[in-house]
Amino acid sequence: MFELKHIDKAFRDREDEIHVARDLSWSLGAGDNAALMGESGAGKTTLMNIIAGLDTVDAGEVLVGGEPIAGLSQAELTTFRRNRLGLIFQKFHLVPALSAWDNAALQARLAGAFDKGFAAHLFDMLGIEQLAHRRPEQLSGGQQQRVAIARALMHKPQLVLADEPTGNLDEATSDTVIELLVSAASEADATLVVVTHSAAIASHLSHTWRLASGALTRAA
Amino acid sequence: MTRAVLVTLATTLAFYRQNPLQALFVLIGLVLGCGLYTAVAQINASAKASYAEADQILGASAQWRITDRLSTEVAIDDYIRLRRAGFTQVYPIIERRLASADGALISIIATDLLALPLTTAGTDSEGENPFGSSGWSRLTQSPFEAWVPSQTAERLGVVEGEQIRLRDGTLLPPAAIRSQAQQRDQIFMDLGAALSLFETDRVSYLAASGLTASERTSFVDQFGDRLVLSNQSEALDLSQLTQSLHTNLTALGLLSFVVGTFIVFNAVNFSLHARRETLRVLSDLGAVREAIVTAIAIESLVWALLGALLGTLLAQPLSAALMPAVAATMQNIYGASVSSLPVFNAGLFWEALLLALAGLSLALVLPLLRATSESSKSPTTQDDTLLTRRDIASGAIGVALLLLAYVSYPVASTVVQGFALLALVLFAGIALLPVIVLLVAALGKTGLKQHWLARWAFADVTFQFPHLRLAMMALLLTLIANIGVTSLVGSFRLALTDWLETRLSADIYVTAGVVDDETLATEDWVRAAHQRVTTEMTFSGRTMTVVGVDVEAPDFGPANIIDGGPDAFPRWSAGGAETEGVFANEQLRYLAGIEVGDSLALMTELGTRSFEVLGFFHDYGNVNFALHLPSKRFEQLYPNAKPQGWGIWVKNDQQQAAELGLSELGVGPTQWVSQREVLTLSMTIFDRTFAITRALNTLTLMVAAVAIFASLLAVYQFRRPEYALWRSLGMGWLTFFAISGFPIVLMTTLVMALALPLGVALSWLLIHKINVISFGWTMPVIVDAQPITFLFFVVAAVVLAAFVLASLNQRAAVNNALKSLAGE
Repeated sequence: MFELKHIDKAFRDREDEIHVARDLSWSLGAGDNAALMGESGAGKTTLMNIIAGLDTVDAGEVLVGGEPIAGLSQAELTTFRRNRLGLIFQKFHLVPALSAWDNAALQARLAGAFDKGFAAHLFDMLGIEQLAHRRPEQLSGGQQQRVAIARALMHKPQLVLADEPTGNLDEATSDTVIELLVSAASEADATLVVVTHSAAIASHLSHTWRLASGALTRAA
Repeated sequence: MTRAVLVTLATTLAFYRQNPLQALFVLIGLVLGCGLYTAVAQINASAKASYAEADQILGASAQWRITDRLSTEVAIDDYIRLRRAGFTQVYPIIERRLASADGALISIIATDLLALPLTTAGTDSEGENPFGSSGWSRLTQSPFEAWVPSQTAERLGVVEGEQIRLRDGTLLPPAAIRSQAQQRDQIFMDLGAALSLFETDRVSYLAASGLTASERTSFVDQFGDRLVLSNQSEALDLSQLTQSLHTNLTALGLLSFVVGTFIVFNAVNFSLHARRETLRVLSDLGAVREAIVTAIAIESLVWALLGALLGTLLAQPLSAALMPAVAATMQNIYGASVSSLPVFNAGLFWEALLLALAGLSLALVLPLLRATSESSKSPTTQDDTLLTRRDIASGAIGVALLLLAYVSYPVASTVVQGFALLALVLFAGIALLPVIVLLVAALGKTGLKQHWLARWAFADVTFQFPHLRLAMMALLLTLIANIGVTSLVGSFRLALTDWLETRLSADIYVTAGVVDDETLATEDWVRAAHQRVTTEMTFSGRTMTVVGVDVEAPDFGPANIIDGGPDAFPRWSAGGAETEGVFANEQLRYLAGIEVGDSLALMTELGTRSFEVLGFFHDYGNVNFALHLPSKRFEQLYPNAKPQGWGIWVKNDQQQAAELGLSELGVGPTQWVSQREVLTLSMTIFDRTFAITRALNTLTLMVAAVAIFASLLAVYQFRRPEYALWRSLGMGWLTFFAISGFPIVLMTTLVMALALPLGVALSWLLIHKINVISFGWTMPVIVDAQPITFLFFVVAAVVLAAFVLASLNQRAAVNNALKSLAGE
């Protein structure tokens, strides 16, 4: 589904040059899922931003769905994110003015891919069908993250990127949420990458990759 | 403790080092607020100082004024008789306003220096007092002197010893240039010199101070048949006349300050958002509440000092720029001479500082204190209900204020009460705005339920409104004031134009005594010629002019009569057998309580006569009472009254012949004027007069624009992570700006919609309440769509400009926020 080919990425922090990627290559196929782990500051989020087209590489090539995204204009990148990506954040980032239903439907509506039946199925599957009319501040953290998962999957994206999706949740809720995310992504046949510090969370995914000093290694 | 305060202060102030724009906004708000308030206060103080100076001169301050019962002037013999009867406090005044040979307006005042009371003549500080003994002998002895204030000498181009030539060729005594402020713009002369110069044995009036009750009784007994004693403190004096304008200006100044405070509030909210975490951390790390409060107080004091200092500095060029317009207003409407240079008053700096501190305590201290009371562990929750209790209470207060204004309207009878009514309308608007915005947003959300984007846009109004609330209130206040004043000035201009066009319908006006009716009757070019005759008396402590009007004159007909019956004009024209029919100006209705059908007993040269009021006529700008009598009857009742000039209506296309004819009749170029020119001049003066209100309206609009700009920046700062999310979900910029811009468009539209009826109500109050209370006349309220539409376009452009300016770096900022979105 996506492929990173020999990418280099570094940025300067005062006098130091920090390498996020050195000749790094990585790919995942359609429907695959993987956990991305690493120390704080290793560059996990930057790597995710590169795959999402939010950041650029110094060298190498990034392909999503077989297409290089380096040459895309801002408008094309926006369309690419809208139609093919699902993003999940640690802080949920729901729109406070909208109900849970409207929040979850937002990207699908923007993409013109809103399917009411599928939306209802997702809500049912995620166990939030009773919360559709509530606003974000009326939901618990776990409930908000389920709405965010529904939003990330509702337009049937090819790739879902989740950055610390359980970072703000307790252990029990985290387990439930990650299970729902993996099964929902699988049912939607979406490739899923989850950035996490937690080995327990990583254990829910098929593969685990570790980023350190600009290199990516597959954990046993 | 000191160390804790310093550390806290250094930590909180570090924010401004990183965000200098925020510091600039706080400062701009304070400086604009303080600057506008101080400028207006300075203008008021300068104008009032001019009145005080005027009061120090001669009769203006005298508590009592003595006038002739039947004439506009008092015979000098009456003055002598009064002195001989023991009224030694009485002194004579001659006041004349004349034109110089160059056409410049000159104000002359003369008195008997020896009769002036000591408090006026003064001996304490002769160096500064124009009435000190220095130079008296030259003033009172031939060839006399004319004391010309230096600013007047400069205006007229007169040097020491030069004699000013009047338009009729008369020469004033040699000029002595005086630098004392007390003389204002008036040329001062000795009474003897003035009597000789004007070839008269009558003075304008007699003044007296400190008359006891028994002396007043004695006066009435001895001189009551010929002379009228009126108490000046009860009459409408200069400061009373101008009080409403000053109150108006002060209100506008305070409005500017309130709007300025709104800017500060928004700027502080903006900086507060970024500093909230810092304050919480400081609190969690053990900084005691007292240390935080002290640090905040020090910061406030520094801001207030800077704001007051820079605001006072800004006020200097501002008041210097506005003062000529105010001076013109005073001169044109009230005939009050005011220096066009503002006087700096150190007290105003402290006033500005106090106001700045008061504003900051509202805008800075309260929100910051609220922030410190929030622990890092306490979650920030938002009320979910559509209308909070506060909003509902606010709406109820708004309705209550409007009802209170409606109920109080008939009983308000003083200028202060009139302005209290205005305040009620303004505050009602502020209180109603939140409910209206939130209700419309809710209606839109419900009405467009099927369209998710529209539903979202309306929902976003609810979320942006708390941040834009104050800026919108500032805009509302400004718009109400703008519409109110624009309608007032527009109505006044239209009414005055109509009135002047009737009053000045004659093509040519020839000064009195130059031509007679028989001569005019023989001229071919004359279509009609009419002359008015007037006499003056006092009624209810105020001067009343009785005018003899030709019943066939085109400048006064049935169309000019208000509230008279259909037969009023014929009855008036025919004259009554038992009672005289008169038309009265509406000042008599509003200031003396006279109604149609009432009878007035007035002195005529044939004895006391009863006059029935048949109707009223508009008499804009006149501070005195006036009665119109048919001229034929008037001549019988007042055979010795003074005729005015001739109004001459010229036959079609005969203007040139008329001018030639006048020349052949020996009428000099200075003895006639074209009424068209007078009309044009009058309207020019009018426009100059109201330049001050236009200038202040523009300034408050600018301040409101800055408030909106600052608020939008604050909103964008608050919501940047949310906006980044919108983009991360693939929202295009068009949709992005449509959703983020819709609330400001809707709110501005609602503010305009609310401002329109309230502005018209304000205008109604200004015309039918304040004006009536202050001046005793009213006029139809004309709501002209053109200037209001223009104003709305300006506001839309200003708000759009604020939105575009605030959005300039929005794309880059949101893109940056987008990258860090996942990392949070």
